[in-house]
Amino acid sequence: MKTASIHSMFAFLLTLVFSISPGAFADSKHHIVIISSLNSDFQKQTASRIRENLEADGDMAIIVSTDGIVSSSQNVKTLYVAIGEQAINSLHEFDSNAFVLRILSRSILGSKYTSAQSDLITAQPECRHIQLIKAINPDWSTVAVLSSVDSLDIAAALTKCTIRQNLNLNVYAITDKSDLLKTLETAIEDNKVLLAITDPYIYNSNTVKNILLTAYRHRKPVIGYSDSFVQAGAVAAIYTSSESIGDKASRIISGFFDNNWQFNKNVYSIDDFSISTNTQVATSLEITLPSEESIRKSMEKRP
Amino acid sequence: MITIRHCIVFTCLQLALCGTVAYAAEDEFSDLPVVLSADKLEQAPSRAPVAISSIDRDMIEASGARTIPEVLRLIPGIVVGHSVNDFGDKPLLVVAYHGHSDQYSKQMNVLIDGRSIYDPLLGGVNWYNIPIVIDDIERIEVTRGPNASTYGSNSFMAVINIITRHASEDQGHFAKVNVGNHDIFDATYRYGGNNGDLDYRVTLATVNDDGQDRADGANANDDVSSGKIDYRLDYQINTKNQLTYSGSYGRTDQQAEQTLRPEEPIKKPQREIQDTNAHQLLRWDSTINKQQSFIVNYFFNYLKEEDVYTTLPIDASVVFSGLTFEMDIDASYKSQRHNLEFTHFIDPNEALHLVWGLSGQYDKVESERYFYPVGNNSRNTFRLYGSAVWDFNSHNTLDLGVLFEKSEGTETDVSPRIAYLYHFNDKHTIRVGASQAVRTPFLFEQSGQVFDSALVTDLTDPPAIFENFVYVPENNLKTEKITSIELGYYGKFLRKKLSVSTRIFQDMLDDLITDPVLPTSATPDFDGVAFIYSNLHATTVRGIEAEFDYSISTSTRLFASGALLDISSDDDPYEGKSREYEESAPDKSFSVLTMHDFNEKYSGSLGFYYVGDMSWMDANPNLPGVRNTGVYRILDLRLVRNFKFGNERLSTAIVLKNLLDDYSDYDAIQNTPEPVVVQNLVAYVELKLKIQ
Repeated sequence: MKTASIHSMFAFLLTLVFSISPGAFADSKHHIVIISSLNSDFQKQTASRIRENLEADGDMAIIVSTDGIVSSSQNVKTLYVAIGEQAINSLHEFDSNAFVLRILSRSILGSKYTSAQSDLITAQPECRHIQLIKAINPDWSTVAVLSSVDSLDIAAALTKCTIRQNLNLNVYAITDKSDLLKTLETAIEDNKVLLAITDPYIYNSNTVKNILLTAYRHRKPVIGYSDSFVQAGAVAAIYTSSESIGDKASRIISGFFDNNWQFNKNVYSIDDFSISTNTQVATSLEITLPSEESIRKSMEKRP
Repeated sequence: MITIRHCIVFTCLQLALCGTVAYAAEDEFSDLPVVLSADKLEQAPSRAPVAISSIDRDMIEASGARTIPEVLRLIPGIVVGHSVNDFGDKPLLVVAYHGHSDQYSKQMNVLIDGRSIYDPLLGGVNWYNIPIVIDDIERIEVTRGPNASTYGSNSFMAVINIITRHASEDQGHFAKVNVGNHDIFDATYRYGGNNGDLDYRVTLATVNDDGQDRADGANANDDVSSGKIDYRLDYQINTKNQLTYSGSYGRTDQQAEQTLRPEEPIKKPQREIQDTNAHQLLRWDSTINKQQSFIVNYFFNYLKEEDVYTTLPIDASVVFSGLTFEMDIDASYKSQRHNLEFTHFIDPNEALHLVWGLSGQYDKVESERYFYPVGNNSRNTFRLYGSAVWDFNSHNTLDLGVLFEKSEGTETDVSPRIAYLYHFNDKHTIRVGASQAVRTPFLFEQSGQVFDSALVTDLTDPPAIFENFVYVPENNLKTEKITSIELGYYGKFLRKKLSVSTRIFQDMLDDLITDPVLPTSATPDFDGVAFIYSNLHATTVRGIEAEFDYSISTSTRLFASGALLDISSDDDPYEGKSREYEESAPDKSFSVLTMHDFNEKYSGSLGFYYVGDMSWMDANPNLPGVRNTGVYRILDLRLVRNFKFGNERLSTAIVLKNLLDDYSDYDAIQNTPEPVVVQNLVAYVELKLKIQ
């Protein structure tokens, strides 16, 4: 209910702001509005990267907007770039038929694509997370994964990968948030490492404290899914950097305009990956971390 | 007409609403709060510049300890004593590392979450009265050896750092009750909850027992009864900033035995002493970026002791033949400590870790008795400190640290530290280190003055006045100094299931402060003797310590530690104070704790402790060759039965302590090996309930 209210308000503000800023794109050929979240440095960095790339490329008018502060004109044909779930939902409320490049972790189930709307999927393939674990320490033979109904597909994909990598993956289902800590304790006690997956039901800024503190108390490492997770206290993560996303999005947008306002594909993905490590946490846990470069090389050798 | 004001209102409203539902919209792009920042991390033994022992939650529970000192017996070189106190003072639990200790154990710093809790008046810690509940402790780190540049002043021979759990880790209800012999009745209730970014917990506890027994089986007058409340709030302001606020209030009633020492001229009566202990702490943790973070920490400690009594009859023969008189004494005191500290962590690159900080501390003690005639004393202390850890390659680490400290009434002191670590691989490390530290005299040592006076009346003569200075201050008292060198080894064996930590060391202590009776002219009219704190002695401590932690299987763990010590003094051996120093620690001591989970329902633990003979520094005088605390062995057993009912976890445990012979861990009757009091069988049932 609250989420719906916010979307309505967001849409209202979009409408509101275009009416007080007419003519913002008056002299430009292609008009782009990039929407990111005010609360996410990562999204803001991605938006900046797209803007820098496109402004260098050619004659485009770009507005970067955080949350409800959007300047556009309804009278001008505009491509929206929505970064993250919150921006995507809000934009959908505002205009479900707009030209949109949606940048999101994973595909939304049941998405309907047109040539005017496309997704850029940023999540790394599941097998890369398993490769990362093998590259850091081949002795980590048992891996715990906490999964809710929202991430069962990820858990299933990870299971397939672990079979190939000769690892034992144990998936612990979280059906009720009140079970999280108990299940977490069991998962940590019975495995050598906890692999966090993109599942906001389990991993969010409210729960990450308990998860990291509990794992640390048991002296077990956590492998995260983002650089922010590593800064929070995970030992390492493989992820797509804001620079890679920005560069890929820029290329897609250029192609979109070259193709007369049509996307070439419904879904784009990113091949590049970044690795982040937290040497302080690793040192405290007496884990000898290879350098990020040697982890990368080790992963590139693996099938 | 849309105005800017309307836009601001809408935007603010939207932002506020977003905040409440932020989690629903989180994805891999979302920023997460920094949880394991540099200051919250336990220093790995293989990286530490000094020897560090860590007692974790499992060990605390398995030891069956009701008080913190009991679990500290697992640390090599630490000895724990129960002073029943035949001086006529309240009984104290005493924790000492490498001897040199009387009941006040002055040469050790004790911190709770970075808050130094030693008593500014007399030093030491009243472990019965610290307002912390053992169930709230995450772990206890003990630094063996001086480490002032990390932990501040008085981190002299050792540092005990008690770390409590983050409030988010104690969600739901927790209750515990212990009932057993010796009138043991302990009860704890804790509730932890959260509201968005705020995590909180409140703990209430009471601890009660009748203490020790006399050798003839009679109960000694050392009953302890305490009640406490402590609370902690952790508020995540945003992903990079966190506020912690904690507070506590505790009160302890302790029986004090009457003065039993025949040589004491003024004898105190049996009585009850009330101690109050409270604190407030506010801490701001901020992460600037990947390379930098800082902490601003303020705390306030408050201690109050109420001890008002009338002495036992004092022989007045010096004034009137055959008469006695009594004195009314108010030995109460109040102390407070304010401390403000800033610490900055900088990692310019992955190989270099820098920390610097500064702090100011204000200590004040009010006491009519201890600071005659002024009634109070205070002191400011300022510190500037820094350390650098440089991993110049994967095998070599250099660790440097220094503390500059200026206290009112003493010179500026410098406490440096250097350690070089060579890592053969990720399993074996050797460490060579040298460090210096100082112990600033406590306020009573520095400027305490005790004066007794009474009007002695006789029906036939005019009244006479009895006056005596008991303590007078030494104007030029210096800090105690320690210089420590060590060679340490840390290794992992058996696929890292067994860790071994050992070190050989030599500590040279100088300007040690003692209180001999010396001639004094405290006032022009007074010509006699009094206790005067003076820098008179030097000692050398040499020894070997070792610690083993072996996870035999996922269900069995063995922890063992031991120490061999030799203390020598520059005086003639076995004469006066020199002998006291040399006998103040056991030549050898060791401990073993085994923990085993039989299955999900049953678990158990067994602790064994051996302590060689020794004498505490304030023990009764005894014959040459007799150490007042004889060799003793302790065997403790704990058996647990666990139950699960949905979200509720219930466990019952039987704890049996001192299963071997009765023993004494503090004092013997003067000139005899007979103990003043004994530790005998302690048995209690523990009931725990946790509802998440």
